[in-house]
Amino acid sequence: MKNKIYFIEKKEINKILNSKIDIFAKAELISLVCRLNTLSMIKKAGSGHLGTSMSAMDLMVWIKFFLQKKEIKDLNRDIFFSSKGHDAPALYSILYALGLISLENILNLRRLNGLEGHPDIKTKGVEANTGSLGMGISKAKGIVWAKKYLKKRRNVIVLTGDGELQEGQIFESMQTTFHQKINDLIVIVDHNKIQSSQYVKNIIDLLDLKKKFKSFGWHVERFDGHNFKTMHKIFKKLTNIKNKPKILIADTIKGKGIKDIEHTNVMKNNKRYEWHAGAPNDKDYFAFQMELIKKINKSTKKYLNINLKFLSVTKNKYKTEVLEIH
Amino acid sequence: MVNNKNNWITNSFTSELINLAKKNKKIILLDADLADDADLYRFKKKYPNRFIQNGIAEQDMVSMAGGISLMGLLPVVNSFASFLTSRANEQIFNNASENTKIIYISLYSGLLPAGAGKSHQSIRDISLLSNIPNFKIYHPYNSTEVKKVLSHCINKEKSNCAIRLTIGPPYPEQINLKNNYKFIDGCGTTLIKGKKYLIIAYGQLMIRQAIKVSNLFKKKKILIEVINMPSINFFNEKWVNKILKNKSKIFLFDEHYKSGGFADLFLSFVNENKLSHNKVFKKIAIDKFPACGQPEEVLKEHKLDEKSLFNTMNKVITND
Repeated sequence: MKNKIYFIEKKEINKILNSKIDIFAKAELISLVCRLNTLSMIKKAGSGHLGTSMSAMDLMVWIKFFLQKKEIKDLNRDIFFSSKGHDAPALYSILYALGLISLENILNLRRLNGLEGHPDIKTKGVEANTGSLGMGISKAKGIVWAKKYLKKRRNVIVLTGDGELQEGQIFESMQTTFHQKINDLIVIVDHNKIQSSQYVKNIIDLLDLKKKFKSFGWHVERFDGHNFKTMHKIFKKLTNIKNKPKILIADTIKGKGIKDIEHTNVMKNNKRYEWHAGAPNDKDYFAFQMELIKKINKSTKKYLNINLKFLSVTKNKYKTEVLEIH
Repeated sequence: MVNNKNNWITNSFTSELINLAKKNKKIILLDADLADDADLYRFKKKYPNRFIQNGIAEQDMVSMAGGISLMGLLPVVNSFASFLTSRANEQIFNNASENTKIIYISLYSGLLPAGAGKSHQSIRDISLLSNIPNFKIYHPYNSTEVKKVLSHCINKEKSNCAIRLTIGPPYPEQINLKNNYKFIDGCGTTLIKGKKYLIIAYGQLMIRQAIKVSNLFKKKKILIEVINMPSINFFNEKWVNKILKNKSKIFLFDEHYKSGGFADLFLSFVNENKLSHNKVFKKIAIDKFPACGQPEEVLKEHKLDEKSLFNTMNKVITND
């Protein structure tokens, strides 16, 4: 297996999706598999934002697989998009797992006619062009407004970064969303505490976010953005809150799921977080990949009593194999 | 205050928007608290649930319009051009990249009124929008043309549109468009016939200046043709070829900074399509920060009053 970049194919992911295990175990497995595909996608592309993809992964998996309907066509559809956008590899791994985009697509991240470095609506399942920070709440607000005008279902969720909250447009949109009573909107802040390579608090401190958001008139919740059971509870609770727009501060770990890039580990011995952008070198990549493969093998054995097959891509040769690594 | 503004471009625009919105339920109006200046509250009165007051938050308003257009509706977005096209430029670019259609009202475009000063006078908006793919810019000449342009933008145009609107009453020197006037995208109309020399201008101010200077030359037995060109960044090659025929010197009047305005775009088009044929082109535009003051003194300051224009043009003409 040395020197190979591994992915997990859709037909293998279907074994998880079609299983009868409980939703939390299922979410855990999907997240693991999507983490491997995200890591490998970025490695193959040679660049991409690993840390933020990993911090947002669990939130995205929960929203796209367990909270929102999968239909993507008409105006009644549920809508999710990320305002920060640089977590696109995570989104692509999920769109692939959902069957909306192809293996060919994820093998061509950041390539001409492949998947763009930041989301673009030409990719199936992408709802908005994002990447330039600060525009997402405004755009999502417009989507909700239009859906209401057209008398359509309004399940609209937008994800922001925490560094992104330094953009002025965020606070324009928080004022207007409240005033215009666009109460169906749900905003989630992927609060991983690191922007680029440093702590948000050292770049520009956000101070007491909960207090800040409340003063804008929003309903605020704060929870662990890697705990599916908590997410389940919070979203259930939100269905009863109809008189305010909602903003959820999800405490996350930048790089979550790969020990050596989790910011809580990295920042113990370093002043800089090195995994914001760019692909890991070969040595690091194979170590990270190994960690994820072990976790996948362990968890699929535990929950499904099977071994998933891994797909290796070297040049243009594809090979699937079970990897006996535990 | 009784002030009949019916013949103002801004009011005519709003009347036509209300009229078009009757049939087209997709039209949604967004405003950054500058509706008064185009009397857009008339739209709100007629269609309260299709008017969004977004406050003085242009970036948020433009992105919100983006979201609305993603759901298949047609947002019309209003603010002063100087704020809308510059402060929210990245948001406009982002929306355009989603291949939706949005109409931007570039209200208070150009040099006049000049009392508010350079923060409000918009002389950069053409350059700020013409570098966005999938975008067309118009500057209608009068209350008749603005209706045709708006109707074109709403019913025919596939690109995003910006409509530059001049604030203020029409000038007494104004030459009316024919009753059967038909707007054709990328083409203009001849207001005064001439011989070898031609002025291409747009908007009520620059066209009034063109008419005035043309009249001065007429006294000297020099006939200068004046063409009104409401399409600012898109030109019909056949039409351009036709109007340039038999002309030796062409003056491009631009109510914009000299860099990146209509004149630059037109010259670049002429050059790309090899239509220049040794003709002389003279760009007449604003070459510094716009001055604050009374209309006539500001025009003079920018050498856009009829006498300065005459002198500038006469130098080019007598250089034959």
